[in-house]
Amino acid sequence: MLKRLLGRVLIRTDGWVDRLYGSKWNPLYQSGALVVLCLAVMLVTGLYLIFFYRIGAPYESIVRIEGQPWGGRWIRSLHRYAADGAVVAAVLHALRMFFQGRSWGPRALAWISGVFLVFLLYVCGLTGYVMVWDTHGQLLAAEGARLLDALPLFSEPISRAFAGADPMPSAFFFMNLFLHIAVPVGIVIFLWLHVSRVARPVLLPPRPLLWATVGLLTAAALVLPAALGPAADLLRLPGDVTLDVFYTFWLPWTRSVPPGMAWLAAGVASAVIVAVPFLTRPRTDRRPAPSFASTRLCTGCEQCYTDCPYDAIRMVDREGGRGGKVALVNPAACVSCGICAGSCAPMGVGPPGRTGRDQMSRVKEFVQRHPDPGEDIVVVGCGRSAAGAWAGDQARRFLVSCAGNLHTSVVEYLVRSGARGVLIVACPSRDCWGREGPKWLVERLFHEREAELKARVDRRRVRVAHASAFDQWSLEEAMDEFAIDLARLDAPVGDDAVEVETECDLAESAAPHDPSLPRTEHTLDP
Amino acid sequence: MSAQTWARRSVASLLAIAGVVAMAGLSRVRWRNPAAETAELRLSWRIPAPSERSCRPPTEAEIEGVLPHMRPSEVCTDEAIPYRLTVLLDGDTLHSGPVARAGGRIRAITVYERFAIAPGDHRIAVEFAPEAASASEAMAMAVNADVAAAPGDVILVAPDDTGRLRASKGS
Ligand code: HEM
Ligand code: SF4
Ligand code: SF4
Repeated sequence: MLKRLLGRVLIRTDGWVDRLYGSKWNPLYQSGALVVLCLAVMLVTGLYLIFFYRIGAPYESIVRIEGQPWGGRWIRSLHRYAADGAVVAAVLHALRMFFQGRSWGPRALAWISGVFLVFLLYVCGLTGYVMVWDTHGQLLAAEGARLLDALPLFSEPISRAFAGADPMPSAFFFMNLFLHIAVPVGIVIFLWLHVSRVARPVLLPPRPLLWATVGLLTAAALVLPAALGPAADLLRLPGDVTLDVFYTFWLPWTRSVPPGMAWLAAGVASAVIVAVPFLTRPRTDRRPAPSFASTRLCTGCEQCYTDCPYDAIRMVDREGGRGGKVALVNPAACVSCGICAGSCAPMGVGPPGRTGRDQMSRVKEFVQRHPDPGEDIVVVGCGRSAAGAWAGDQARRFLVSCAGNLHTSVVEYLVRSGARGVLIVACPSRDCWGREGPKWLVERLFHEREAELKARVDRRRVRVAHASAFDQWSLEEAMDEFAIDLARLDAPVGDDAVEVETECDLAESAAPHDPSLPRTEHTLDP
Repeated sequence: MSAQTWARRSVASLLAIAGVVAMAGLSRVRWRNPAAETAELRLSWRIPAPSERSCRPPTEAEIEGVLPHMRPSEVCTDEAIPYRLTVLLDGDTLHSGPVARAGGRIRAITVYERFAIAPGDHRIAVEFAPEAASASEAMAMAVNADVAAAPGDVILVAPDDTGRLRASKGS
């Protein structure tokens, strides 16, 4: 219930932000890549700061950095704001994945490694704050030690190091600095694991968004330099402290409760977040089935293997001594996005019910129900895009599970049946739930990518619009523009009998989901 | 550029700037630590854990089967001496109890305690001594001191260079 409500808020926010920034530059769609960008900024600025940091005199070295007229002050602030930006972007990214239901099955590894990435980001951030050794760092170190002392880890309370009886040993600052530098190595390893199941991960936002983000963070660093509290004094209780809400929001609360309660809250919250892949997994009968490839239809062209955004397809030797390769889907890696169905000219691969052949039978029924499409623009679209929420004439709407799932033969069939125009509505490119659907769709329609739209189809009658669910403005705008352009063309002439041949034209009964085809023949056992 | 596009770009830029300003603001939220309204009495030291050795001749069973030149003349056990910590503030007991010792018998005893105390003038009395009355007095540590504590002050009770407990205040 709450998930649905918040999901609706997310969809609306996406729509408004699309309106303002354009879906190409919508930062919400780039949240994962923005985290990587912030990490990169932290790395570059951190390399500068490390030259001036002294473990023997931590606070004094930060004061010296702050005093540098050309570098230090704003570079330190930029380092800080990039760290804050990383948390903001990571939270947005995780929320998106959660509300879009991209958190279970083959994506569980990305989810769980993402949680560890955030944990490491926090270790990095907190050790960074302790490095400064102002009153904020002092409070944080003392509270961290108090919490750790409650665990059966140390034979003696480590909090005693902060008693103030002796000066803080350099070894403490050395260990802290070591963690601050070593943890990013762990972040790189976990990031590799995080994106290991996706093909062609997009690690950086598009250039304009990249430079705008770096520019804004730099401007903030120059105009609103980061705070630096008074030097730590272990024999004074810090009074007024400036907290960084993104990293130390928990400090006032944990200080007011016994450590056991703080650990319990952290443990329960972490367990729930880590368990999300299991909690959000749909019931077995509601789970979309993975794709499978028919060895009878597959010609071994490798297109689905190239296009699959989750590297779920392998090419293996064809059995039975016929030579050559056939596609083999790994159901444990397949998220059932359906994009491979649009790749396959002979329509031999795809999730059950969504292969090219299934789409062809559906579009034939669609045209039969709508015998005179000549007056109309047919809206073909991904159910999650604006097409899914479109309130126009439902008889003119043909939905697929993802724009990348759409087989170009469906478009050909509609145009050759006499549709005035076919407007294909896809999600904004960087918000495709199957990652690469809109990208491959455009390539197949207009750039000859297999399975390409045949040359005989009048391209002027085919258009693609990118519009998220709430962004009905863009859909209507595209529809109006398309209608104007179509009005300049002659009236469409439908073919008497539309025969859209598939390259390997087997009987309809040989469709990949035909139960007569043994499943083990097409899929790899998990 | 149409007026609408111009307006949209302006709103988009303002929103992005507002977002970054909000982020910078949230990274410097002032918080008043309520603990700083009081003062703190802090006890911190670590001493090698004293133990008592008791020895007796070995029993028949203990030397049975042991080569004659390998037989011990006596069997000794080291018993850790239990310690008690008592803290009085203006004559009232703040704390009184055995000191838990970490790990095995011969380990150090660590004391680390913190007590929030009201700002003002106080008389503090700290005693750290073996529980058994028979134990040597040299093993005990104690301090009695008058202190003036302002809000946020830490009164640290710790051994000085000579090993005696002292109560001191930060600058
Ligand atoms: C330091 C933090 C993080 C970074 C740098 C990061 C970065 C990324 C990147 C670059 C991608 C690939 C995007 C693409 O090309 O489609 C991705 C995917 C993903 N991330 Fe993260 N992420 C982080 C944290 C998280 C967290 C906290 C979660 C959830 C708890 C999460 C969940 C996911 C999921 C489920 C995917 C896969 C999406 C899909 O398969 O469609 N990530 N992340
Ligand atoms: S796209 Fe079709 S024909 Fe080509 S490898 Fe995949 S299943 Fe085989
Ligand atoms: S449906 Fe096809 S393209 Fe999508 S993950 Fe599965 S095999 Fe890959």
